[in-house]
Amino acid sequence: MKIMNNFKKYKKGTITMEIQSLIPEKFINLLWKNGVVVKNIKKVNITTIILEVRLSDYGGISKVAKRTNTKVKIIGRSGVSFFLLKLKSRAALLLGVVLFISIIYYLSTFVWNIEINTENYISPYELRSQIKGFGIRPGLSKKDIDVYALENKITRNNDEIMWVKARIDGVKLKVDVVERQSPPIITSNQTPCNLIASKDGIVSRVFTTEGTAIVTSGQVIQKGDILVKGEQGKEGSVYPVHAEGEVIARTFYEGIKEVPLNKITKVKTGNSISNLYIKIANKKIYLKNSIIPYTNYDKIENSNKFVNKETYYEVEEKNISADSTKIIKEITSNILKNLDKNVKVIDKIENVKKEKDKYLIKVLVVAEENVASEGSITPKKTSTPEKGSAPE
Amino acid sequence: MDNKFYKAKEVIASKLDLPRDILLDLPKITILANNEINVENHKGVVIFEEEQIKINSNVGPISIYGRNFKILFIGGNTITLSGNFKSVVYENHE
Repeated sequence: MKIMNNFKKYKKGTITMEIQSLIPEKFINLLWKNGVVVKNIKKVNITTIILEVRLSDYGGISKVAKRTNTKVKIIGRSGVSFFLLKLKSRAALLLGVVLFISIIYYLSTFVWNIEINTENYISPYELRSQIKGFGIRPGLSKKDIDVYALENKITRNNDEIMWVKARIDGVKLKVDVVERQSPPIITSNQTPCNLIASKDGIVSRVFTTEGTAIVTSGQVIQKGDILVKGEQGKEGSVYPVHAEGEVIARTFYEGIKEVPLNKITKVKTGNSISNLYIKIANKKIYLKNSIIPYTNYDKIENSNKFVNKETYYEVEEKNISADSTKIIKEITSNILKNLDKNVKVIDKIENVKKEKDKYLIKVLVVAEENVASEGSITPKKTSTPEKGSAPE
Repeated sequence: MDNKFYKAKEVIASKLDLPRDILLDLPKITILANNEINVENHKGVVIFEEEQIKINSNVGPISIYGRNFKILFIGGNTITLSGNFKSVVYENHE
């Protein structure tokens, strides 16, 4: 009885049973009259049929079977109820499943991986170590990670990052970074500075866009002089600026050359005489000797193993007078060769002086160029000690 | 008496245009092709054999001949059969 009552709980279970009775139709009718729902009744032979009933009806069925003297054999069972029944006897298995699921769930509340997607210049490693520095590392609970705060921190610490998205995706922390495409820096240096002269010269024009010009046109400047001071404003309220401008000055390039008036050059006439001799113990034994008829000659010795040869070439001395214009051209071209392209040549002053036996040729190239170059604003007051204050 | 009551019921059903099968407890037989029969308001299975099934009803037993019979469902007042049917016979002797 107890067992029957137990079965009433299990409504989802279906049992397949084989019934052996003399009149199986009677058994089916009785079941039907008792309100038992029967399914899939199949006849095997005259006395045997197979049918499916619900597990909860088992009690009623066994009563009917007893009354009709029917043999009932259960040949199959299916449904959730039997699964539950099985589970009851395997509590450890159930526990394992529950434990497994709960462990998986528990572990999924942590971040196990940080994935970083960057663009061109920032390396993921760099960002990873930075994130580590913020105290966010794999193995941290998801609750402890405030992605918005992390985003803020990353953008604040990296100027080159324009936008960042940090999201927890499963057990991953995904960080996507968009880098800033910084515009080219037009004014690279805004630190205050002076403009100083890079060459000696005479100022012809001054243009300043920033700063206060000290020199005026016509003023003679030396290399290192301050041309434009890096400050602006009225007296008393002066503020430093990055001086900018052009100071066009006349610069001078000089070339001097001394050239003798006459230049003596030797010219071969084409005539030659050769002598042959054998040299034994510092004594020359001439094989062929002839008197040299030339007043001026070049003597060239050719020494072989035994026979030495002396060749005398006749030479004529010629007096060539120096050509001053040629030399002037040479000097100027030498000067211009060394000039910058943006230097404008204004004038060439040629000076040829005739001394006793030589020319003194001077060429002065007058050019116009920008001599302003940036120099530090720090005044060099104490760089040179005063002469009077150093008696020792 | 019983017959009279039945006849009165029949008259009312036809006059009021009520469904007779419910009122008179008549079997409603639905045949789907040659392989499924659904009988409502039956009165139990009389014979269940290889080539014949006899179902009792208010209008007398109904015999179904064929092969491979299988009672798909029996419960309440509905019975569903499947198999390859040959014929359905009303075995009313009246």
